[in-house]
Amino acid sequence: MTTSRNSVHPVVVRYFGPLLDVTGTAEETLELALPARVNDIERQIQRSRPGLELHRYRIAVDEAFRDGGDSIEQAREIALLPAFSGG
Amino acid sequence: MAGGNTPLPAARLDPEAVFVEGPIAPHALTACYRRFAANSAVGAELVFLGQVRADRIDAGTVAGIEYTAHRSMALQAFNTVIERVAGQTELIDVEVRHSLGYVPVGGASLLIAVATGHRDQAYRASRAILEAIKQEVPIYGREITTGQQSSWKINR
Repeated sequence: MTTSRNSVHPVVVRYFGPLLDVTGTAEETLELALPARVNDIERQIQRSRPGLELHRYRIAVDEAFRDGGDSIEQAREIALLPAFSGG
Repeated sequence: MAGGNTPLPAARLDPEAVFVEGPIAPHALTACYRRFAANSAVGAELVFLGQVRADRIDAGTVAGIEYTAHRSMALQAFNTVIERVAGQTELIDVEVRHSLGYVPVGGASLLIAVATGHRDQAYRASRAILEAIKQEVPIYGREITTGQQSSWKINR
């Protein structure tokens, strides 16, 4: 949940795999309210990109996977990563 | 690096060499062989090559796969996998290459070369690295058909 302490920060959001078909872009900068829990950050991104909510993916904040309840004070990059398909 | 089951150091893979634009060229194999041959503790070398198949999918027949990745996370994941497998097997040396960009059918998109003292450990290490890569490394394949349709690859 966002709080009165929140302020809006530019964060690079990156999309991978099938999510590219939803967003039409691999990367964009979004103004996100931080600090916030990962779940809240995800909702902010989904509001900006309808259709993402239909997909399953993990979220990495500054290249580290985080759980939905984790609190994020600040972030340079948020990556949305669906199931991998390399190899 | 020589010496039994000592885990390989972190950040073992050369970040400039891991990702290959397009298919992996045959000389990557001889480069591994030359390096492993210089280590007198090595008694078994095993090279796994993943090759793009002309699968029949709903969109048509696959002509190639376009690979993308979160490169820095993928490199980190490769090293984590190798470090873990090195701790579980008697891995002496290892090399991994993965393609990015377009790889046509018949092209190699993944190379895993392992060097161990004995064959059992080589097969075990190679398989463990392969399965872990498919699960843990953020790389994505988009299958492109002969009719220029596309579909995201699913690992099975």
